[in-house]
Amino acid sequence: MRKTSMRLAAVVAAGALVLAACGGDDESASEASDTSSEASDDSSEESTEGDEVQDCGTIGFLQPLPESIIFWPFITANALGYFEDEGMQVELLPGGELPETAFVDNGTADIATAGGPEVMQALDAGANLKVLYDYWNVAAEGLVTLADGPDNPADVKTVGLVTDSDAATVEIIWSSLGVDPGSVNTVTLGESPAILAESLESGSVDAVAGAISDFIGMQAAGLDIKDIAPDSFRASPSASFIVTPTTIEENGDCIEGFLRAWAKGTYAGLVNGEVTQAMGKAAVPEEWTEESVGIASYDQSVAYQEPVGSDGIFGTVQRDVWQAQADDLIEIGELDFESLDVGSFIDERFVEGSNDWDRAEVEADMQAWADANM
Amino acid sequence: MSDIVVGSSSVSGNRGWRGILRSLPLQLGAFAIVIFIWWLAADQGWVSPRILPAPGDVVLAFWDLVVSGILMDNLWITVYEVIAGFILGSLGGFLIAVGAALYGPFRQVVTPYMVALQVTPRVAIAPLLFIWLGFGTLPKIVLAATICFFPVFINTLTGLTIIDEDEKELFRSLRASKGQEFFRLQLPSAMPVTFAGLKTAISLALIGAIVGEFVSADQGLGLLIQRFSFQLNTPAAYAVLFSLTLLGLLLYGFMELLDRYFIFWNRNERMLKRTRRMESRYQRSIRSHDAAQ
Repeated sequence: MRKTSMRLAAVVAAGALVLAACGGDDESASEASDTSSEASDDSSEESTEGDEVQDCGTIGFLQPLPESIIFWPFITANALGYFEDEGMQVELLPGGELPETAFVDNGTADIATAGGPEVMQALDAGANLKVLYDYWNVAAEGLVTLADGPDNPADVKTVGLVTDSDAATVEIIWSSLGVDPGSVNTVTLGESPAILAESLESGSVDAVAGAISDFIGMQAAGLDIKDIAPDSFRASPSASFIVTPTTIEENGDCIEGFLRAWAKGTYAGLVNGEVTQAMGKAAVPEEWTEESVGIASYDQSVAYQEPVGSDGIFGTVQRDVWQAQADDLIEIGELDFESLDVGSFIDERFVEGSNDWDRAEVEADMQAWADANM
Repeated sequence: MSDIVVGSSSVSGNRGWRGILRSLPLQLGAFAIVIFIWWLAADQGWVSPRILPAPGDVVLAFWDLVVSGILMDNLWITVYEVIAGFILGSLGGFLIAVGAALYGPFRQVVTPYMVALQVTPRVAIAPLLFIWLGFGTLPKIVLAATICFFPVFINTLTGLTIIDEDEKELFRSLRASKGQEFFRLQLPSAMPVTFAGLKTAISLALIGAIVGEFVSADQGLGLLIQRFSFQLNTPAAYAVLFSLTLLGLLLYGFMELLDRYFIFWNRNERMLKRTRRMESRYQRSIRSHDAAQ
């Protein structure tokens, strides 16, 4: 009898675990919503009183990193209740090295951030995507050396690559300088910032080609480095919001609401770094076990998120930069298109609406959050 | 007779503990030597602290992670993925192996697919699992399940199919039914081998869950290692790594305990204890029967 009941309990436990696993996404979504509602600020709730709030339900948003101060608008918009104000809960889907475009195309994510080459390669492969809003206006990739190292990439003899794909960074930079990319030695070092830092300090490599997240740890650990990538290379949107045309048709208002909350969150982070860091610390404490790393992550990401134009409009899609990038990709054989008009996939209809908010109110919201939580 | 069994069982049990206690100083000594060499390497600067931090720094980082609650918050997510993946994978492996052992045509159909699944590098299909199953814990559980599935399947199948011909003959001569042959002969013979597979599977499930967390996660020990590595917070990364090792050892130890409990016939002292219990029960029933008469 005891044995039978133990067996039964084991079977029930197994079934419960499997069922719970199947419902994992919903749980995490509701957990995310709980967090955001807890973090909501009274002042932001007041601002929506009396307004008719649309019901967008849960929006699946894919970004390359899990919640991080590097992508602070998600943190600030959550903390200030901006997503709730737009009638939505946002479920963050951490993409990592996964192809963001595939998840938008197959409907797993409603909206995602992706870099220019990835978007155009997905279009080349037949995906139907629209670029709505440039979020990171500077290339996420770079070429760094020690502070007392060479200033000109042409003087670099050996480059350490974080991954094989960073070979493209080397090729583009050297080609833009009119130097044969074959003249520089490359060696793949892997993603460990410890190895990258050691390789630079020991002189095994003169420079490292990688992404911002690879460099932040090195800087926070006290390694004095500088980015020597030419300005022409840096002027490249590395994270733009993409959706499918179907999402625009069926859920356009909600997408605009999402982008508005994002733009407000971006501004909040730019206008008050101290409060933004406090929000980051509350949302992702593990990113702040070393305070210097959290601060360096914030500081490094500021330049990427500032609006490109003097008008201060967030999300403006840099068509000329996109077109230049498309032409380059076609020229080096990365795209099969004979030509690609970026106007065919850039759709800026939501940029104006996403900037339709009062900056003074956001500043007041930040102050109110600081008064309540700091 | 009963007293003799009790005595030998007791001695056998104590001998096990004595054996462990006897080897403990040796094991602790080896551990101390490893830690000393590690400390010396860090102290003398033979290896950069970015690559190998001092043991004291790792302990401090571990303590900070425990006190702040960061370690536990992420530990439970990983444990959940491991246990769920292990149950899913091992249950699947066991049931398919039973089907394959009992029905030849089924075995011929499924075995090539099982082997194909085993030789396919699961790390390579991890991104595909996320595309098929979406985000959250489910793809990590499925990844853990696919990795830990095979040892249970192959061990159970082997255990169920390699039965001593004389024993089979004995069951047949006693006119045992198919069911009796399976539950009284095949299954008990297979269980020690199956448990060996389960012990391998629980370690593999941990690897599967961590690989899944490396691909995409918003919580979990795998993500913590990545975060701390990118921050060049090497002591914290090591602290999480050792937590994972500890978790693996605990899970393995738990399976070892289950093995000792359920597969009692595979260990003399456990077998003797069980025989003693059965004997005393039998003696009691005889006495109560006599008293009733």
